[in-house]
Amino acid sequence: MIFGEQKPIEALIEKIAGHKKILIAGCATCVAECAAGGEEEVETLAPLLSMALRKKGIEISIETCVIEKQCEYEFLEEIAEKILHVDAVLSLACGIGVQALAERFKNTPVYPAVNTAALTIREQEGVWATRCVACGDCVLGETFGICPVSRCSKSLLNGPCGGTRSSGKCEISEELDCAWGLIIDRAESCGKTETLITVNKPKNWSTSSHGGPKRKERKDLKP
Amino acid sequence: MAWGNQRHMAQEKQTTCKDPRLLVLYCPRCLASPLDDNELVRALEGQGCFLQPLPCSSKVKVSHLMKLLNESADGIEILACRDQECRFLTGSVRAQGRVALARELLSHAGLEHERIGITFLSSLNKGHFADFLQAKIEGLKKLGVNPAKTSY
Repeated sequence: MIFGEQKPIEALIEKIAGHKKILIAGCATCVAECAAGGEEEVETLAPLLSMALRKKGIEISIETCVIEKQCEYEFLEEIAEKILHVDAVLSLACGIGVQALAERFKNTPVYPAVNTAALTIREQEGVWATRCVACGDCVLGETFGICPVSRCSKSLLNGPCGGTRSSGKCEISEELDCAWGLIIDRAESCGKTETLITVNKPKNWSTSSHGGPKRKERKDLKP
Repeated sequence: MAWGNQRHMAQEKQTTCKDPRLLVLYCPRCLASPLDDNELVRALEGQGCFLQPLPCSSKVKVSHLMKLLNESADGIEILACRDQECRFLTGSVRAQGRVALARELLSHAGLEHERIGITFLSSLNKGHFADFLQAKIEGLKKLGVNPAKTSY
């Protein structure tokens, strides 16, 4: 899922200070899962902002809402009426949700309240770790389901490197597993270590963000 | 929900209470016996201390704390069971984590984090409970009324 973290409250105050009435819009999908922009976070931020602003002598009326999926135009229609009565929107969605709101409601400023950080898995309660960088050319089939692009500090397609510690951790942190160490362990459990001899060719990075903005079309799904 | 209009509603009411209001959210298992002493409850309310029992201290969310501080409370004290004594096993730990986050958020927002506190207690009798709350009320008086709340 998409992982996000709330921006510092001072940065939010700076953005909304000039407005009279704002809407705080949460999203009930990914950012709710990572406790950055769901209903609980919206209902926490609204009174907190209200108090912080009041202490600074700024009076702003704050409305709240939570959209099921802020990244889809269809789900934005439910706030179309509400948004007519506010000066600006503070969105707690990921970067996609913020842009969807801004594209749908062109006359209303939309500010992000969350920094979209990574594509993660929830390893345990309160701990999220990167599992994908959306590179557009998946190599998981060659690496036993462990992504070296997102999990190796150097994104090496052939490893491990000389920086692996004897503990099986990465040289950059004792807390970070060596991705290639994990790949070798998984290959051993599958009884397929011989496949690791094959050298993976250099990756085509043009399918990643380095290749410029992506726009994908599926003719079978288009009206 | 509209947060900004509450101030106007509060101004209309114009209560004159200058003493800070302490809201105590407590797990009943912190007390040796159920709090059925109305006289004690009324006496505490007279001093601005309002009691609210919870099924477990972990029922408190950060949003509840913020909403209460924004609307009417000057201080909130959560009374939770001691470690290993929570009947839901991790209730007190969760409450502790939420209080820590709420205090951190208040600090970042330039507000006094001391307005939210948590204390771990076990089977307190009424006398000790009253003394404990009296000390908390005195502590809150030093902080004074929450200048950021809507209702006075």
